[in-house]
Amino acid sequence: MTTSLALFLAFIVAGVPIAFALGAAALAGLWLIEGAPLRIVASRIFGGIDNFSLLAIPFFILAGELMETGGISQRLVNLARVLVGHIRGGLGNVVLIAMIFFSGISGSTNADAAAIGSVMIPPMKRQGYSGAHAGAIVAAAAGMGILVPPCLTMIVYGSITNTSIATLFAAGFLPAFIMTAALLAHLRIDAKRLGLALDARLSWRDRGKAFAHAFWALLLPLIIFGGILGGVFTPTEAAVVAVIYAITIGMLVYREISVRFLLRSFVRTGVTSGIVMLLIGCANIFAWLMTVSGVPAAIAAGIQAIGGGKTVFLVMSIAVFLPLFALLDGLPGMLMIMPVFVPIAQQLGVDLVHYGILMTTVMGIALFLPPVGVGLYIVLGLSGASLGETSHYLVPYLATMTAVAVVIAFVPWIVYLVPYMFGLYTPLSP
Amino acid sequence: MTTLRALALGLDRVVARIEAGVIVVLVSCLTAVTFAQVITRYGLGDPLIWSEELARYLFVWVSMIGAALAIRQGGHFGLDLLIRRMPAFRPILAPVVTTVVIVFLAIVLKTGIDETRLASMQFAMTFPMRMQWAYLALPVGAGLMLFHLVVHLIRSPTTHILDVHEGPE
Repeated sequence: MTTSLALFLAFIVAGVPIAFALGAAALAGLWLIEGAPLRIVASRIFGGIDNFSLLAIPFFILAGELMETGGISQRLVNLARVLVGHIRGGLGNVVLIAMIFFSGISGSTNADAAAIGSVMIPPMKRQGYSGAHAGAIVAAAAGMGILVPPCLTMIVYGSITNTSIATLFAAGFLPAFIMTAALLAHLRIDAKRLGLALDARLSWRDRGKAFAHAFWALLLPLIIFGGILGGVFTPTEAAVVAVIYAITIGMLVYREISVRFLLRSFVRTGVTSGIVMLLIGCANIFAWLMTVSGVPAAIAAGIQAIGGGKTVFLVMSIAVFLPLFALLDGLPGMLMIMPVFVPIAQQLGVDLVHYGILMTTVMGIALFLPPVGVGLYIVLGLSGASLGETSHYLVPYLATMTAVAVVIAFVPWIVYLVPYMFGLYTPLSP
Repeated sequence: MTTLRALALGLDRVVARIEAGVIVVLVSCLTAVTFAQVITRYGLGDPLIWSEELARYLFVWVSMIGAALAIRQGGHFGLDLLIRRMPAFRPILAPVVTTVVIVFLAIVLKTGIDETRLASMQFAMTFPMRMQWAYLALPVGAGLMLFHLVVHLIRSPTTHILDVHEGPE
């Protein structure tokens, strides 16, 4: 077991892609266990991928690809701008609200940052924001947006832990709104201090126009969530409906999707799915080794011996996830740590829906954590600002978000409330 | 030697094109089958029984071929923070890393073939198909990844596999 972990670390440091590092290290561990059948390598990979819930992944990736055409994000930004651009905080508010709209369509945080960042950063610079400040706001907003379903992290977590993905989606809403409220307040204080400009207040007529322009794009999240929360669709079915809808709207109504673009999107979706699924398959070999070795049970016993129980474990989880997810690009880090931490959570009686939302919240922060967060580099590419300057603005936002994560860790009803209202979930220990 | 090299690189491009084409077909089928499930359940009230299982197997194929194509794009997630900090080590490290991946994939290929053989005795649950056609995705995917990696070793053995950018198709 120790050999296996040491090998894994060595592989990661040398830059072996994480999927292969997990697989190869687990394989070494297998060899050392007397009589373990090598066959499980193939069957665990197959078993990890062969899961109907995970099919939501390619469909949400594809829907995101198709909706990412310039027109859609521009329309959603325009709508957000006429709604909140004149309130103190100005374009910063617009970024947050547009991010909620866009994240409600796209399942990928990096795509959210790229789409909203490319549309918002230029006008922000024109209104007197520095590139670094604009980039920091986009990064913080995208980190919040991970909580707005659909969300790939929740799909992966749900299918591996056998937690309902519909419940996780519903559970993400309230934390997302609390995170947004906290960031809006933070932006307001900033705007006052820095004396940032505002848009002029617009008439309801102009607002109506912006709404009409964004109507077809906005209808999509409504179909997705209406369907899932109302129990009409499974998340996978909702995702395929989103794809068909995006193709129809993009080709017939907005006329922005060509056949060529469509085929390219299919290939990109296949490649992205392949990367994610191979990772899930290889992590599934690693998970088998973890279960057999009994490491999680030993750690859980250790925590219980200290006497801290859940509190110690939740704080420890945040402290471990934050650097780990930042270093290992989010999802790979999550797949690596889940076989260890989820069994501990179960043993200590932590609710798995609550734990999943906490993990997702921390991932949103970690993806933009300087100096390594992968999402941060997407934003820097768009803003052209330096890492140092951007961090100067970003770190206070991330601190606010981390404070919200701690609140979510210790006030679980924030997570349970919405799924409970829709009759999707009744927590065991409220 | 140079002709052999050119042949390998040319073949690599052709294989990648075929992979991209197969992915387009598979993703189209996947979308059509799953959408058909929604339509038949909610539209016609007479759900298909085989659509879910078929979609799952199609997705295993998409994933394995997509993972192979991702090799050519340096797309698999990895930690490049440290290797960027020590450029002197990279030419030595790169072939070692590629070899680790090749060894692992060779075992996936071998065990994948074994599993596929075993699965020829089983049938899918909801439609008449031998399970070997589902499991076959594993050795095929591993084989394609191995192929791209071997070509990569021929092309530029000292380039780290996280830094490969051979384009999408």
